[in-house]
Amino acid sequence: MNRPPRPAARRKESLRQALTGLHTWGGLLVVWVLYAVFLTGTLTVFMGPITRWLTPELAAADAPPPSAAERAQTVALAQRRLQQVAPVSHFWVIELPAAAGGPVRLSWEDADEQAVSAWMSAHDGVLLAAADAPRRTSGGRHFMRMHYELQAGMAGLWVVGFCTMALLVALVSGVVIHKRIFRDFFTFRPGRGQRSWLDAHNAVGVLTLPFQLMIAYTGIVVFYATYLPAAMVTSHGSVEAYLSALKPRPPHRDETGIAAPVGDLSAWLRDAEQQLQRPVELVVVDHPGDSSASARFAGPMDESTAARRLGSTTGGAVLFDAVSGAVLHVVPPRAEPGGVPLAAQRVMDGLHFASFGGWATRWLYFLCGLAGTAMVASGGLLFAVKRRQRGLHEFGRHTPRAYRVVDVLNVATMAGLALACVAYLWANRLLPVGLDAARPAWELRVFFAVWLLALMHASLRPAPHAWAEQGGLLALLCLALPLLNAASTGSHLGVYALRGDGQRLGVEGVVLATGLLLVAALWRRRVRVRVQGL
Amino acid sequence: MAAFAPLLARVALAVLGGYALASALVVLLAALLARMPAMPRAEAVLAASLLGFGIYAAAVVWLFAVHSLHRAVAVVAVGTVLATAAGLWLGRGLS
Repeated sequence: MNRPPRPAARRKESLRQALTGLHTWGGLLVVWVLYAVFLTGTLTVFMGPITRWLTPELAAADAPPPSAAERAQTVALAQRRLQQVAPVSHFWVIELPAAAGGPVRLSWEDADEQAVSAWMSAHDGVLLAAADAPRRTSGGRHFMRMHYELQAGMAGLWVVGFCTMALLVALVSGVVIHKRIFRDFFTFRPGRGQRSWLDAHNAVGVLTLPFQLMIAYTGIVVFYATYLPAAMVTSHGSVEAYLSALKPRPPHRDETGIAAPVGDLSAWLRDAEQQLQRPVELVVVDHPGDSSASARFAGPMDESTAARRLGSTTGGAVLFDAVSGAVLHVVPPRAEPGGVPLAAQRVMDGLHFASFGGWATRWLYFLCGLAGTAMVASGGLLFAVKRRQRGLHEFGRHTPRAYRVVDVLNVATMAGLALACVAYLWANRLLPVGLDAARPAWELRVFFAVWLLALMHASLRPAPHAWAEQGGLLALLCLALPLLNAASTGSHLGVYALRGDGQRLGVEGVVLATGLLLVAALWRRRVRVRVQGL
Repeated sequence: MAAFAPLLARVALAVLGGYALASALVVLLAALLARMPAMPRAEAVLAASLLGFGIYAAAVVWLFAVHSLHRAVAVVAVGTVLATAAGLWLGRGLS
């Protein structure tokens, strides 16, 4: 019996078709940006360890911390130095070292209103020459800034926000267009071209769907005040007015122009540590040399509390009038002001930044982030592979050229960005330390230059060759990175393991494992190409 | 190019119209929440904003799924104006 479909069934089918179009074309529009956001976001999970690997001069994470007396002495030395190099400035920042005797990072604004920073010896307060100081690097922070703004400021922030909204829509429409979401979960037919890519896209998307929905939503919410300001403007007049109503802070103290010296920071350090019941790790002085000066002493996040509970916990801070020494404001550690909405926002932030559960959570996020990267990448590849087998003529006579653009951008983002990320690690070891303050910018130049070269290479070579060549180079750079590290710093996996330096060991181990997996994948591909002539 | 016109119209409606509608609904929701006891206005705005991105995503999916473009335009326009007006009216006099 062959009855015409009932209206309800037909409507369902037309909904499926409309959302399939939305998923395919909306997805294609954002796939390359999303891949970059996913890959760099996955690396950002280990931002701390990556920065550590990129700064080999710093001691291992578990070196003994400085004592209270050493901290006070460090702050006194730093104050003397800052008073000498920038007696009147917009700000001073003193970052206390994590390890006793380690170098102290000082930042200030110079006479030309440029922010400068330097490393100071904790022993005698001398500013270290470039050769003796930890190398200047953009560190793991580079991946974080790629992740949320593509290193392109406000424009990048909006592009990432738009693409993340598109990801949310793609996830929702992707669920709707699935006929058999549960069966796809268990379906994988490898080695069958388009079918395998579809299976991979479905399996990885469905398997990690809760994580992907969570990470996309909480990611947008981090910048909610930028992306959705209408209600803030109508209720409070401006976003700034809304934010200060949400979290009351002491009012900004305008500069008076009346000269006044900064009091003894090391004495207030002791007061602040007593109030916070924890060591201070950051001292910020606003308007030093002016009578409006204030000094903020901030404690570190409480790792053991954060490990057990969700929701970002503050390490607390004490704000002093930096001339009279009067306490202006105290934020106790683990302060959780406000009602349910603020608590909900804290939980969402904590979920996005993986600031709970310690290293186990980080590894889970890393794996789920890789799954998200694979989901996006397989989506882009699926589009291309499907049309390589059977063109659909969506662009009329321009169709072959449009498919070629998709192929080129697939290679250039997926292989090319990975290349740029590893090249960034290489640049950190190869760029001369003498570049000093210009060094972080040079690291970024190498990163973007390699990415651009990958794009040019992809646009000149047939896609299968471009994949193999960039994949091969990526494997080579990954496998040779430990050799480069050993040659330039004398450290390698064995040294890290013996020292118990798990963070650097993890970074180099993951790079090495990536190289090995790539070699295996390329080897399999070579065999298949020979057997099937693909 | 003419073949792409309805598609472009729908994309523009979903991206821009959906954003306007979501913003208006957040304004309304924030005003409603702020009228609840013990809810500071800024936190009401925060709560509504946190939900706003879900509203936006739902609006985009719906605007692509709905058959008639004219009806979609009408719903977005009327909905945005009404929600904004209601939100502003409910929000007046709140501190």
